[in-house]
Amino acid sequence: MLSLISFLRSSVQDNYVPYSAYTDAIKRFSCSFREVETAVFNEGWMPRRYHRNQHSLSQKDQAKLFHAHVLIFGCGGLGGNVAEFLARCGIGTLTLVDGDVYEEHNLNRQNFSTPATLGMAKANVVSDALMRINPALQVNALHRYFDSTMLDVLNGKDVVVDALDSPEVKLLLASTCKTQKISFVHCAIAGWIAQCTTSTNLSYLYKESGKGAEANRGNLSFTASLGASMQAALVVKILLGKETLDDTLWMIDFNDNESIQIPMKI
Amino acid sequence: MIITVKLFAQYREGRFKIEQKEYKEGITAQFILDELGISEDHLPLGVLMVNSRHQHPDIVLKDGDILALFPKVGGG
Repeated sequence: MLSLISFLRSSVQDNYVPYSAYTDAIKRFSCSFREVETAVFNEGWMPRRYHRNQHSLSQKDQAKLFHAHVLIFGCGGLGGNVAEFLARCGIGTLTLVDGDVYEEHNLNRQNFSTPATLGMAKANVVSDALMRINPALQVNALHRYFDSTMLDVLNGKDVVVDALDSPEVKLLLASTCKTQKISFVHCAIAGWIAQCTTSTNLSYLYKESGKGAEANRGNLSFTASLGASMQAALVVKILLGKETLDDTLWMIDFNDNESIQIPMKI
Repeated sequence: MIITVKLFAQYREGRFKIEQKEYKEGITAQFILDELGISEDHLPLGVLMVNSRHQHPDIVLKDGDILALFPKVGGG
């Protein structure tokens, strides 16, 4: 009797397995997309969907990303975009945490917001959208706000993404990651400005409670996407052992076309 | 004493990117924040650095210091 591996092997071309082999395998072997994708990586093959990652990410890199679990706090302008970038890049498991529902003023920048999703929980909408992008993913959605009663959700995660919109809660998350020694990627946006760092010393940025310039200047679509791009790249770099921003805050000012690096070390 | 003030992001609106000015001895960074009209109401203070080191607004400035001011950025 033909095994799943043998069946998949017959579809491999240049080490890539096409999506059509997945759908055929699922019908034939009553398995899940995830089981197929796991087998593909275990055999040293690549899903064809990652063909355009080639040579920027190796097969081993791609397999590492598939086996990683990233926790994203906030599914708005930053978080929704980060979630999509990471899903498309190949992160295999994502947990999304956000207590919000979509509101009309989200439509200017939150990638999965549409008139049809107004009033729906962001974590759930983003989760469903990611599963449509790649059914081999595992996506957990928590329709809750992060607070000090849910610190154990960080357990066992490889990287934590700060896509929150409250400096106070960002500080709590940063200090929790510092205590639990979990890799952390901060990002924040305001108007034309995006900043990111993998340092947990956010007290340099947030001396007092209360919102920042975003309360008065809003957030533009491309600023949210820019910040999310910086974050997604840093998540992947952490997982692959590449250089991160542990001692630096990288700020990009789209208005003045400027890139600034601010030291974050004590 | 001469202080170089560098403003970043939205703090530049209606002001400048970099300016050198004469100030009397013994003033704090807060004095300059107040003089520039940087108010908590609209664009709260984020990073404040003197000679590339993080400081609080009550730091007393010295001749030749470079003061860098960034608005707080906290959106997601």
